[in-house]
Amino acid sequence: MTLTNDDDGEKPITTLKILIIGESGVGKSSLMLRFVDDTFDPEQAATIGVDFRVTSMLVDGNRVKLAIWDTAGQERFRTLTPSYYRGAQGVICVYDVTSRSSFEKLEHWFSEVDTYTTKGDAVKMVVANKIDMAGREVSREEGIKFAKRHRTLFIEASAKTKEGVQCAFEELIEKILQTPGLWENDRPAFRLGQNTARQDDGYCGC
Amino acid sequence: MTNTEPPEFRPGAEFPGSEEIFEISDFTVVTELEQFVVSVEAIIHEWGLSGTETRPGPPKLTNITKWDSKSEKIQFGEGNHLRITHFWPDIEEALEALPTPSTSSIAHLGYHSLGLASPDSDFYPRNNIVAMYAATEHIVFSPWHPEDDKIVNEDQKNTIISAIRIAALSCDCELPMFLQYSGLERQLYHGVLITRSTVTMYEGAHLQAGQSRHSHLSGLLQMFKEKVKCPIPLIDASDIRVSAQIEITHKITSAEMNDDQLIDVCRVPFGSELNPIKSLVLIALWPNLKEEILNEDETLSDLDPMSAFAWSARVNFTHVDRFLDDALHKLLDLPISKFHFETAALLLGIDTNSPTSGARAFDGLTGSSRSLRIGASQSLTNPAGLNLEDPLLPLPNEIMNYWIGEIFMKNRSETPNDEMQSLELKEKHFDKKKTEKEIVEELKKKFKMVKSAPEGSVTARLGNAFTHSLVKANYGPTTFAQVWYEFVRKLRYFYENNKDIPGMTSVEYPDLSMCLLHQKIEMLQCCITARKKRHALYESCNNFTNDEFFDAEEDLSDDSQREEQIQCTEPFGRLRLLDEEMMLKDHPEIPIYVPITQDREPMTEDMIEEHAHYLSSLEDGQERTEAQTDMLKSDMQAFKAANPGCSFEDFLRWHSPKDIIWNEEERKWELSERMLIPENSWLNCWEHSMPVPVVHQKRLFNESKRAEEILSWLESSKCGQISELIRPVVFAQAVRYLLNEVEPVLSLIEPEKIVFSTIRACRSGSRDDFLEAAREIRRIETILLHYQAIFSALDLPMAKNGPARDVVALKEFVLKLIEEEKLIKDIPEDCVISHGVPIIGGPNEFVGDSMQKLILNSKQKSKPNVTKRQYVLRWLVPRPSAQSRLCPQRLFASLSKKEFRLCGAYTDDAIFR
Ligand SMILES: Nc1nc2c(ncn2[C@@H]2O[C@H](COP(=O)(O)OP(=O)(O)O)[C@@H](O)[C@H]2O)c(=O)[nH]1
Ligand SMILES: [Mg+2]
Repeated sequence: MTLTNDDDGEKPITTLKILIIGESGVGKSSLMLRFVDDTFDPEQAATIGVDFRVTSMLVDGNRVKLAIWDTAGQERFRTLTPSYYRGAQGVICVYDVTSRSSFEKLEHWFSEVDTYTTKGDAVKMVVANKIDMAGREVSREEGIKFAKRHRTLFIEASAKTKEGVQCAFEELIEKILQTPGLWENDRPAFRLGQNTARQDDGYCGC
Repeated sequence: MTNTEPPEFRPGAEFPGSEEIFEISDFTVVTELEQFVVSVEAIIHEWGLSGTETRPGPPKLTNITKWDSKSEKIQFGEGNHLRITHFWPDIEEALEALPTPSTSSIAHLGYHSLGLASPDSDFYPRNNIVAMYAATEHIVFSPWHPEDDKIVNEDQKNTIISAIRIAALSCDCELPMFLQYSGLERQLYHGVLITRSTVTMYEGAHLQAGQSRHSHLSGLLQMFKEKVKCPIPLIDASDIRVSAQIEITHKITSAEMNDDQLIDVCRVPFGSELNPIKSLVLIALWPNLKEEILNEDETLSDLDPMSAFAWSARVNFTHVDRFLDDALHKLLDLPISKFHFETAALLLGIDTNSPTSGARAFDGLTGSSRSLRIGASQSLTNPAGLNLEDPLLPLPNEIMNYWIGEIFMKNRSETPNDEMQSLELKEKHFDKKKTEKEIVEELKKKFKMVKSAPEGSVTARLGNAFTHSLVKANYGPTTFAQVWYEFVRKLRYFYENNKDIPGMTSVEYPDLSMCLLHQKIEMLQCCITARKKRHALYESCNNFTNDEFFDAEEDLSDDSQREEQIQCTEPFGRLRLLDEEMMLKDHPEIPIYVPITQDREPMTEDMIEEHAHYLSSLEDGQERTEAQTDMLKSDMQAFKAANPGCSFEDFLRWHSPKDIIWNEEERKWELSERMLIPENSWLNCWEHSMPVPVVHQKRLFNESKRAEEILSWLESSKCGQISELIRPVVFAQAVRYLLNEVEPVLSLIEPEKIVFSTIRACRSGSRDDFLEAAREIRRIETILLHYQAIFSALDLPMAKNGPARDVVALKEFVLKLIEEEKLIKDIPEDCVISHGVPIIGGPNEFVGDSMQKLILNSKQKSKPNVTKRQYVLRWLVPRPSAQSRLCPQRLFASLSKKEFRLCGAYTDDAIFR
């Protein structure tokens, strides 16, 4: 996979799958581009089907490989997304702070998440995007309230000014790694605890 | 572990003292025996066991189940070692001590001598020395190495015992001390107890058979009296007290053959061919009676179990092959078996290339002839119309057809009969069981997340049949291949006849949270549904009717030639109005219509993976986008066909309304920035799309191609792969079955382990994880099997009709029997005493009554099969002389076919001799 940039040659401890969902035009593709390539392209075409990028990051000195899946938000493409929920350890749900309707649709997106991921199988995060823009229609408080109700991570961000983007992904990855049973360790030498950690990696918690 | 430091000696010890501190002490000349004594003393001091006993009396033994111990290695002689171990009961448990002696006649007796006089330790089952010598707390010297350090000659024994005596005396240690003689398994001990006022000698004998004159109570009494040599006239002496206990063994030999070939596909096989119970043992007890009350000699015996004071019972299990465990291990062994690389058909010797194989669908329908290679018999004529193929296949046709019929049964009731039974039984278990029910319910809920096939689905039933076919006892080693083969053939039949697979009519997409096999079967149903839908669509579009369509179905390779450009101004394939007020941009009088669209192709997880892999192989985003434009293109074509004269903006209004923005200044709708980018994929696609209604479009979902792929994939699966595909189904079904049954034995097991290990295994797919799950399943299967076996031995039908109270009592009793059996198995040494679970109320209560009917009233035997008799004789007499104070004398005897064991504890007054 050419997109991988684990250039330090260290083998990643695990590969995590992150899914980005939300209404069309809220900036999902832009957020992914900002995180992976640290750029913003105003000429970014509307996504068709799904797109994805592979990257990696260091968490506490361990390399973690990330496969980030970006989805199209249009109604007609929706039937496709459920397939891609499978195996996702993190789901980023994006809305546009300048579009009230994109915020109101979050409820729908969450019910889809609950339908297609096994309960407790993925860490969820709400990202309020485009905070650089004038004409805000959704306040920070409303966003926080929603996130609390759905027990998710929450952050406000801007793919354009890069504010909050790196932090959003980092928080999400850390949370996933802290959740036992969510990820399989690919590197047998790497152990978080005793050998028994594999034995009961917290199914009881779900 | 010889002590290098000389221990402190106290006055009175017979060893060189060190009072003259200026003199050099020379210990180089001490003998080996002296060295041993010094080592023992050091350990006794170290353990804090020296000094006179001050406790009032021994604890009540009946309450003690836990014992503690501490041991050290100690050198003896040149190269031999003994293990010195201090055993003591976990007193916390048994704070209640026996009352301190009130009579002054035995006030001189210490803590341990009193124990000898008490009936409390009679037949105490959890510690051999306690039962044999009434020594509650004690020290044992045993060989460090069971063979090399074994003590086998009298001289050795006597030397060590006298050394122990010296050490005990010099330390003032009032604990009974024993030396284990001969092999560990014989449990033969001799010993000594030295207190201020008494000396007790413990003498053991262990023979294969005793003299016949000692083989009953009166003989033993005679022997006891001779040994004690009571110095006063017997008429003046107190009575001898006698306790007796006998064991009656009921051997179970009946093999309960479970040879039902008409299997129940609603559940996995459970049970065993042979009865896991080896024997049931009834123990009858007569405690602490006066000598003359109990008579037993060559001719007569008062030891009739019906007259006993108390009953208890024990069960002995034997290892038997269990159906489920057997099947699970066979399943897990398939990938490493010799069948690994063979397909089901190959394994069965079926020639899939034979000319008749084209008629398979028809065969499946009638269940008659098959395209089999029948070898030599092929040339035979068959005037009688008999089925010639049967001898070649492990299972006869009728049975196989019955199984397949059951698997594909519509609206199959999912409650097997025995579950009904156990439900009935459960209801009688009152409210107490509510919590147990809740535990099970909770586990069942958790188990819903398992990646397998849903309960009651065709896949799950296949799993059950497959498991049945693996059970060694019932079927041949290749029957599983036949089940698979016939199952896949039947799937093909459903597909080729456009029939829905039972229970799957409403499947829209494969459920990705299920296992791959189930997804594949669901995918096949999606193909069936899609084909039916396509047929319906063509039929509804009468204006397009041409025979071409129905033939086209056969054309699996290329649909594109049908995708002609139908340039017409007539609208085609309209589904509905988009919105009453939404008009075409260039034709404000014509409303926008939503076209009939194609469904995307349903995908199983491996297809998604493959697709994702393909996408990731593409270098840039542009290529990835292009690889996914089929649906967009199909939508655009359909839209154009439904809306002649439409524009890109009109399309976006329907397809991506966010990309049409109202410009307040110019008061008009315009495209979003990203759609305005020249050459963007959407615009490109739009420009290259002709108006084509879906009826004439290339299929997005080529269901016939997919269905063929799935079917031939299933047909060509090798046995190793079949095993991997079906594992999650079989294991989940096994767990579901057990969860339905475990409620009564919940207190003995950890059911969450089967749940979590199976969830893990189904998720990871790793064979090791499945092996782990199989281990957990086996544990529970065994206990459940034992439970059911005892229940049925004790006549379950009768129990079921009895009052609820009795059923509860019986259930509790059975659980205790199983627990007790586990406990006995955990004790490493041979157990001298008959263990048992008390039967409260003896033969007068329900449980005892069931036991009695089984063991005492068995038709064949007129006399109960007494396998063991044990006695304790206790006597309080002055010894050794008439001037001595009262000293406790005790004899324990155990008589069985295999052994004759005597354990005597004879006490002398140490002062008044
Ligand atoms: N001002 C601003 N515009 C953004 C931001 N994120 C995305 N956009 C713009 O919003 C539009 C939709 O973005 P895109 O990433 O394609 O959204 P998607 O459909 O959710 O993938 C594009 O024109 C982006 O340039 C942001 O943070 N700030
Ligand atoms: Mg996008």
